[in-house]
Amino acid sequence: MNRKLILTGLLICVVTLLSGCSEQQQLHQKLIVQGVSIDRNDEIYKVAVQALDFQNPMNEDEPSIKLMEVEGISVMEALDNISKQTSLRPVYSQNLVLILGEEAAKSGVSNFIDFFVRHCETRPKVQICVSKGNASEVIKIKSGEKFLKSKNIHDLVPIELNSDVLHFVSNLKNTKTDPWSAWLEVEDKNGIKSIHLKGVGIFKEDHLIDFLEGEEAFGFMILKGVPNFGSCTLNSEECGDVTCIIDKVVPKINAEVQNSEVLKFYINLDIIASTFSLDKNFYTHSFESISEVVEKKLSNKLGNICSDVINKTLKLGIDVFEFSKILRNTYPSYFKKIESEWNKILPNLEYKVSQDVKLKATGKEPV
Amino acid sequence: MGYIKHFMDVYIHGKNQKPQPKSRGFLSKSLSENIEFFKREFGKTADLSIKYLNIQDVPSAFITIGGMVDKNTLTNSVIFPIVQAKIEGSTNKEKYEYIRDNIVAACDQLQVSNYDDAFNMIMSGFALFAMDGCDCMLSLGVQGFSFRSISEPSSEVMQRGSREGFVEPLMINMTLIRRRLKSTDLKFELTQIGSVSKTSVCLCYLDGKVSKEILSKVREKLSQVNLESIMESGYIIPYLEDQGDFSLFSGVGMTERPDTVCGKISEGRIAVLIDGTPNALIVPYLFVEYFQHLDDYAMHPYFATFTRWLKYAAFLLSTLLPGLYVGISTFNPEILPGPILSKIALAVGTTPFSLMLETILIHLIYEIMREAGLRIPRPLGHAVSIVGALVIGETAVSSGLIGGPTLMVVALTAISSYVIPNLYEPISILKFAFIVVGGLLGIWGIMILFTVVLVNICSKNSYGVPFTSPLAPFNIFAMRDVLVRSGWSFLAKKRIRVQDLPGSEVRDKNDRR
Amino acid sequence: MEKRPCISVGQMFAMLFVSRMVVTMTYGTLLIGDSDIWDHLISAGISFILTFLLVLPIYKLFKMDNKMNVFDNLRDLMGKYGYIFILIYVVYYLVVTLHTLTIFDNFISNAINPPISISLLSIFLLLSSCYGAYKGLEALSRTSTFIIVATVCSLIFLSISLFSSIETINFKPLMYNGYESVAEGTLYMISQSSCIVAMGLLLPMACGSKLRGIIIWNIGVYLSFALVIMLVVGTMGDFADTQLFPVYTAASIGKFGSFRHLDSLYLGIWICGIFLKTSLFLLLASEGVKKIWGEKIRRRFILGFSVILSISTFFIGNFSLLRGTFITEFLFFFLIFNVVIIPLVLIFLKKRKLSKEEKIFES
Repeated sequence: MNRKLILTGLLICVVTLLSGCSEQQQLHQKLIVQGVSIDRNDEIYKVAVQALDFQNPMNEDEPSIKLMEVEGISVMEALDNISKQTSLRPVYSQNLVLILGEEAAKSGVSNFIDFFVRHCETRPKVQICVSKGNASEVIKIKSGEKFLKSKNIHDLVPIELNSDVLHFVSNLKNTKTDPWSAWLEVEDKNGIKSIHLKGVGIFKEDHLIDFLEGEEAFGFMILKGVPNFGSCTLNSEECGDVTCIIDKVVPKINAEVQNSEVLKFYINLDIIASTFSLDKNFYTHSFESISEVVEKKLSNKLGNICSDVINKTLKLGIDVFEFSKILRNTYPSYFKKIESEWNKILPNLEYKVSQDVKLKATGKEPV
Repeated sequence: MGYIKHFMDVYIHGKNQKPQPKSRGFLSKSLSENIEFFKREFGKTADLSIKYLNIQDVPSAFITIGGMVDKNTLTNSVIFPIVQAKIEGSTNKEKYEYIRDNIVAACDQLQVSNYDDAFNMIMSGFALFAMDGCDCMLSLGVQGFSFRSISEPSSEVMQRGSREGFVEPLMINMTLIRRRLKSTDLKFELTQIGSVSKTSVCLCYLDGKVSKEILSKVREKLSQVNLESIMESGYIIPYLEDQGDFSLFSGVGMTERPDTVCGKISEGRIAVLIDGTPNALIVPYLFVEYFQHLDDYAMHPYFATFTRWLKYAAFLLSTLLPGLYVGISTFNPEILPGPILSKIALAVGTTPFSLMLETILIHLIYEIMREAGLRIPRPLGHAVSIVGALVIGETAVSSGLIGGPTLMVVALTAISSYVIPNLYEPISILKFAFIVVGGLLGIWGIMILFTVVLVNICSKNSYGVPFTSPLAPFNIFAMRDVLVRSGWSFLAKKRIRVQDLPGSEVRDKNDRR
Repeated sequence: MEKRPCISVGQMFAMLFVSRMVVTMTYGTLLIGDSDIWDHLISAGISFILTFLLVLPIYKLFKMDNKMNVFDNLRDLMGKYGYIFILIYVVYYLVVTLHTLTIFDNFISNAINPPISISLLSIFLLLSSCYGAYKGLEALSRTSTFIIVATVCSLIFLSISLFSSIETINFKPLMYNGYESVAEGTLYMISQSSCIVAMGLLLPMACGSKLRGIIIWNIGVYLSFALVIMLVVGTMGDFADTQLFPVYTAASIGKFGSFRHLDSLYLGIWICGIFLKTSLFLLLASEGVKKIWGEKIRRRFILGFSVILSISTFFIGNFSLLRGTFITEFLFFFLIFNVVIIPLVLIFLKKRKLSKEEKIFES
């Protein structure tokens, strides 16, 4: 009797389990999303999705890259339209980049970022970038006949910048800090389009408020510990124009409160740089004598650049350098007292940038 | 003579033998009555041979089974001396005793006094000498049936070590063991099972190492065998396993190598040798033993450890890989790195079946080819290989029926499963189960099924010793021959007997002689 | 006397550790609400001490007669009324089993949302757990040996992979927002300590030094909890608050050389743990049934329970009572009743009985 019961139970189980087969979707019936761009025009969100197309592969070994443009009143609605357009189910687990257009970022990312935070397939390490103008231009860029892969776009952004959904949302959720993201731009030179990491987009809460480029972006990168972003050219009597590249930078920010009143931040930068293109005295001076001069000059210049960028962000009333977190961790009771007035204190924060620059001997030693 | 003594104990005095259901009675004093009885019992069988003689006017006969005795030996060493000799004695009985004690004294001989023993002896290749007026017969060891010579077992090839493997006759197999373990502790215990075949089964163990409790359990289980005939050792495996304990994995080991048997019985295990088969059974047999090979002990410890881990990996690979491949590709593509994902998706896109069906199909085709390769006459073997390579390897992929990655997975699974040939049976069934579950429930289903299999293995006991011992219950000292294969200096420090393993329920485990 | 399964203390605590790790791994906003995860570091410390205190009554009861479990004591000291309390224990074990299944259900549907029927997956898990319970304690304890190795290895692997991603700036001062989170965390951790109730049955079956086992188990449980909290907060900061199952999200960040997406590793181990926990608690519940109605009913109970639950699995996602913060409080009081009140009453009754027996003996 028992055995019959068990067998009947098992049979029912097998039958019900097998019914699951009917809804199975094979791998090639899925749309493996690699990159997403979000633009906003006239209250309508336009989403461009770069995905791997296994239905029409380029050749036997390589899938083609498919680009789909959908729109909707919300990003969710637009993304939902993808499956209506192709009958394929989009899979976001392999998504690498999320590029936001200027308008979409300025109108506030809270409307749609939630999808990339809570959706079970999306990963927190998705790279988040902004673009002046339309973000779809970035994702649509072609290298020869093919679309440039999202992986290549992803690799343009240095990991140290922490321009990913995880850090973005973490700073967004903390009401005292503000998020930032890498700024990618399409440049058109003689009809050949290319993408560049132009600088950084800075946000106030969930709204993009400004772009940092040139020296500002350079300073921002140094303060975030990102090496090898751009170069810094100095001029000195001893060696003429010198171009320096930052090889390594370790920023340390400390807060100091005196008598529970005076608040000051000390920003210390440990920098290792290398020099190229010395156009004077290359063969007559030793490396030591030149490096001393260059280090001093570079130190001053970097100090100024960093101070300028901090100044700019503070004036905008945004805390992208996470001063509030540092203060909270070092002086919790003091921060608790001033927490409600932090937004008023922020623009007038006192800080001091100190830098310790070391030049690295590279290439052949000047004789 | 030791074996003959054993034979006597078993067959004549009925030691270790369960009571026979029906006895044919005692031999008669009249030769003609006895011969008549033999003829009646054997019926019209062609191989019963009766040679009548008149030895000093006494009607006598030699009863043999044709083909089982060596005719030369029988003629030259037995019949000729008897015929030529001057036999003393006044009565027939005295003459019989004179022949027994003085003429064929050098030959293996036993005296039987009832029909059952007489039949057993004659069917074991003995020649029966009967004389009129005697209520007993003399069985003479002149066996001369032909058998396969000792050769290297093809299913257990070793790089180093002995090239000898068991053969079919039980006595020779016993000799092969005795030659390797010259100890008085080595015991062979003969018994007979199979109501029709009356197959000789021999328990082989080292007294002092073996647990008495396990030994009596084995004896008990063997006595419960209710088969008519035993043609292969596999027939009695289910009887040696714990009843009502369904498991794909067997708690009874099998080997064709006498050196393996010697190694196992030195650890307190019992080998069961069965007449007519070259496979010896070993009980208790634990899960980790499937991964221990005699070659391991002949190689350098570091290499043996490496190969052992290879075997563990191969086991997991052959069981789980196809299931994981199907499950991950269907439900969890995020786990796969981009390039692999693309390759699989492209391959799946070009084939008509779902990945699960495709994998099952190719596995089935592979199993068919394997089975065909085993059964096919050897000269046609190459043809199967060619067809296999062409059908599975080339045509299936080029015709777009099967994806390349699937084929690769199947090939890897097949090769891995041959690393542990003794586990082939459970592996081949389990991999199908994992494919189905993976295709229906993804990686989650696979993990649940894996745990179920783990519970199944862990719940098993082999003669009171946990099947998964010494891994679970864990014993760090025993890991010297499980996770690693330590050097002999360390292995020889303390020999762990099977009943001493952790979790063992054997009561007399501390009983050492 | 019936033959009792004998397992080693190591196996017993391996089983309990894995059962507890399931809770650690699914720790998240679903059960702790808006509570601050970082403050739970203190909760872990407090719970560590509290667990020792909570184990005391059961341990003392066991020490008084190391061959009798709570069920034996209940029957011996309370007679027929003891059956009522055995039934309460059975209900507790079943509630814990259901609660674990609900977490599994929620986790799969919220964090993973696979394109398969979750109900079917739940049924498969349930039937497998029933098989585990049917196979008995020895089988489960041996299985736990393998699972604990996998659990510890994956924890180490996860720690190494996440270690480089830890940002110290995310470690805010403890109890920055007051004591509430600490209290909530402690309540949550203690309420999930169903293993203590399980000890009431398991201690007499284990061979070896139980006290040492309890100490190592407790240290292991809360050390791993603290480690998980540090990893989650250190790597994700405020992002952790947005995730229903932050440990799972943290695992998806981790990378170790070319190994990425370690969440699959996490998933595998976690499912093994869920299986073990549900099997164990189902087995413990069936032990109670056996005590009341006998061995035959025990087997039917396991089978019947699985069938009933299989049917109810289709609705289990709607059992909102079994998730959320309510269940935490409910489990907490139920636990206190089972590990403090009943054992204390039993100790009292036992002492009285012993003194009576002594008097009779003296007279």
